Amino acid sequence: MPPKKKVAALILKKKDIPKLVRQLTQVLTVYGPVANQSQFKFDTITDGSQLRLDYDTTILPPKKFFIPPTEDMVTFSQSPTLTIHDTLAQSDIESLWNGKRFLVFGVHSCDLAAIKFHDLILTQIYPDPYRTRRREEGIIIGLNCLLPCEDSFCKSAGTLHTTDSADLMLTELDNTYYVDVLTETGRKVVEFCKILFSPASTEQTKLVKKTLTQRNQTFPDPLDSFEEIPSQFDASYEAEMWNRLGRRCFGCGACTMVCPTCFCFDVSDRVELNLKEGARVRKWDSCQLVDFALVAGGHNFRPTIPSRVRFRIYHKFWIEPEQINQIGCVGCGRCTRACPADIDMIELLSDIQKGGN
Amino acid sequence: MSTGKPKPVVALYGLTCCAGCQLEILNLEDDLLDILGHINLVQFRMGSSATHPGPYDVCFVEGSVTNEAELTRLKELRENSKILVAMGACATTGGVNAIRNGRNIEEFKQSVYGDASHVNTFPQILPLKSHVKIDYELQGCPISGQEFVEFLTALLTGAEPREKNYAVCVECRMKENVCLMKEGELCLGPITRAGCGALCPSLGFPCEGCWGPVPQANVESEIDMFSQKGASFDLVVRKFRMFNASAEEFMKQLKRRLNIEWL
Amino acid sequence: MTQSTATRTEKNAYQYNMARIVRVTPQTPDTNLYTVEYVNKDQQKQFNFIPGQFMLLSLFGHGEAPFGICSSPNQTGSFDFCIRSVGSLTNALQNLAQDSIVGLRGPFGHGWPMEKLKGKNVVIIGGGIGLVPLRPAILDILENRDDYGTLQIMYGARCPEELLFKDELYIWDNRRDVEYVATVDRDDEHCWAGNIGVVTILFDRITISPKDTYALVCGPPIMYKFVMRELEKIGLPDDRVYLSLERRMKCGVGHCSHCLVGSKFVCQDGPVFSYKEAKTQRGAV
Repeated sequence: MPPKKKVAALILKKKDIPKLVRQLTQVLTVYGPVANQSQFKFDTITDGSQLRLDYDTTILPPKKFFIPPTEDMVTFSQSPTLTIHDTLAQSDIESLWNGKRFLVFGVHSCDLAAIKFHDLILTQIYPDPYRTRRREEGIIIGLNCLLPCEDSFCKSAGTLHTTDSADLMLTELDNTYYVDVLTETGRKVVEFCKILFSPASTEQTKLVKKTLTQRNQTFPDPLDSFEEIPSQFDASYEAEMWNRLGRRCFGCGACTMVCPTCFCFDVSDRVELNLKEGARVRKWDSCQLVDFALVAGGHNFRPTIPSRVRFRIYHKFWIEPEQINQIGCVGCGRCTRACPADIDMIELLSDIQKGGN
Repeated sequence: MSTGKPKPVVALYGLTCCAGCQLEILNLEDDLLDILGHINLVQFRMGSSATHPGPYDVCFVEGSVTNEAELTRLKELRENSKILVAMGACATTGGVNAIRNGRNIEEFKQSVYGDASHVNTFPQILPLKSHVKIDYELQGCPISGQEFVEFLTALLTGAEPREKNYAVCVECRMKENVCLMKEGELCLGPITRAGCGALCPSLGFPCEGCWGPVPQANVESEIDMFSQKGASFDLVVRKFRMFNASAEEFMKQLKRRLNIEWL
Repeated sequence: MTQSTATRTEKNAYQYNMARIVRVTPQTPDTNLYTVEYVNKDQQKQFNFIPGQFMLLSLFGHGEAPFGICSSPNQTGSFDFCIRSVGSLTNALQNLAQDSIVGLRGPFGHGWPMEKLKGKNVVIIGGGIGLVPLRPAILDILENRDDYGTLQIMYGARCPEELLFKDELYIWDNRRDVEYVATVDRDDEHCWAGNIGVVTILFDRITISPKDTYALVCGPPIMYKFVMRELEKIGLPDDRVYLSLERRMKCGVGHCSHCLVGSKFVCQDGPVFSYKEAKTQRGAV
């Protein structure tokens, strides 16, 4: 291996983004933020003009590219005898840059932190082979937020600065993006499109530092000592707040569907109408749904809405810190934005901090 | 999975309804030939004039029981069928037929028919399960063709059809729709059983609840949210009663919460 | 973060091995004992497990579910599952003929502490279908009887009809080196001459010495609290009481999170926990 050259920071002109996308889409599937009704979502990008790098947040996090809402794990067919096929075995297609096959453009820090979180939580006992494959296949271009989005508390959650899991990190600078090259894969992306990148000047580097420092000061910080919540949760476990929330909560699972750190899934079989073929499918599940802790014979370990509301917080703010020493919430605020009962995560966490009554 | 057994005898019947559920099945053009390869569909008025007296292995019934004759018919079908499936909102929650419940039926008849002396109908519409034992329910107004196919596939493979015991919101978020409740709309999605694939919200229309109540539906919270959005008492009641005037889970809580005697 | 690429070549724990049902032995009207062998002979030869471990058994088209292995760990050539039909998969299993193929993955999890039991007295308390994961431990102890102290078995079922392994119960009842007591919740058919009541009434029928004694417990969720209370009364320390927990499971490898009790995965950290450990996890017992 040749000695690693320190790659200086680079500059990418905003007007060159379409060229960059065109170049990348020749070899990779490119996803990025696009307009979606009154909000945004990550979707396939075929033309740079679709990219909305001015987006605040997306309905679903980029998690969907690493853990899709539904995924076939095994396909099977009964013709004439039963044969099964591991869908992972199909992935050994040689592709660019050590198997890279897709690129997610413009991922914000909270979501980068959540991807890193999954890297830890889903490998603690045994690495989830399906997600691992997709992580190996994906390239991530991060994007620093310069403006806070409503309902988020990334500064409190300590994810505002995160560049973890990004291969390149972009910061908006007037008519350009300042580009930090963070990984070897990132370097290869730059190499592949090198005429679009120019070295950053010392002034530009200084300006980015100043911009980010100012950004850090202006972002809201609604929750003091976020890292204390796990110990405060213990005291609130039997508190009235859970019944109060339970009376409002629909148990609809919207909060968990849009959560970048949630990863629970269900496994079931799909049989095709020919009755000969089918697949074992995993599908996003939610601890908020009534069947989640139901066992054969009818016993339900969390039979009520309050017990399930509490479990969501218990998992993120107590269980996961116990398991990997990290809180399972990155402060993106999506759950608040998605809740049809207007339950506000910042309020909920403040209530825990106040003892839960 | 595939067996050499004779094909199950399947019938589709309609009581009082718009026949939209049968139409939904007829619309399964890509799948119909496959379906007919697995079942012996002996009675399907929308697709064939053939009739069959039974007995049936599986009988799907759409529509509501609105008079004595239909009640007798339903009881006969129950007697004649190993598996009886209530199909569509009219059959599972009473559907739009149940809007009359609690109202003065004579006034309704008068305003629709003028001279209504020849109209013989029950004042109350109940779900089919209130009349006879129902083995399975396929919800929706109309049902989803895909759910129908999944249901048939499960029966044919000897698997227990999986109930979707969760709300429309799950499907709606997976489709990455903007939440209409958050946009100020009155959406019944949070308390309505999934299965439609969040069809209406995906087209920008709030859920009207045609799949019926989700288990543990938090009706109180829904009423609160509707009120916060400025919905009048009358609008809340109408919204809940459009497809679910005979759905006990909704009406019991609505009655208690809004203190409505006639519900 | 760069992830290890080694995992791709490692065996995927979500993948299935085919096994053949070689025998179906009815136990009760809704419960069968399924004796299976791996289709691959080498795999069958290499198969081993610890009593108390479980596997995910599946029928393609019907999904998969966790089941405790039920045979003696010393049995070669095949192994057993004892399954009550209570759902889609288990109902479909009941309709299977001999020679049908099922998918298996596992064994998963921590079993009973068989090494710690060596030279000690063992009390086994089973409720209903909970006897299933206890049976490998009982059989192992009986097959190596000299390695252990006293063996006391307490077993409760809803009604006489639902008692599992009736032939074996008879043998245990008649062995001098086993103290076996049983009870049924009710006896509508009047065919039962023994105890009537929940499993905890058996604590009055048997004398358990806490000295050098371990207890292994498995039964319906409701049972644990009451049994733990009785064992505490006897003075059995929490670290010598072991229980096997049942939870919904979808993966077996600590991902799907259905089986979490506190910060522990029942599928990997359990299903067998010491009461001492279980007590530290909310909602375990």
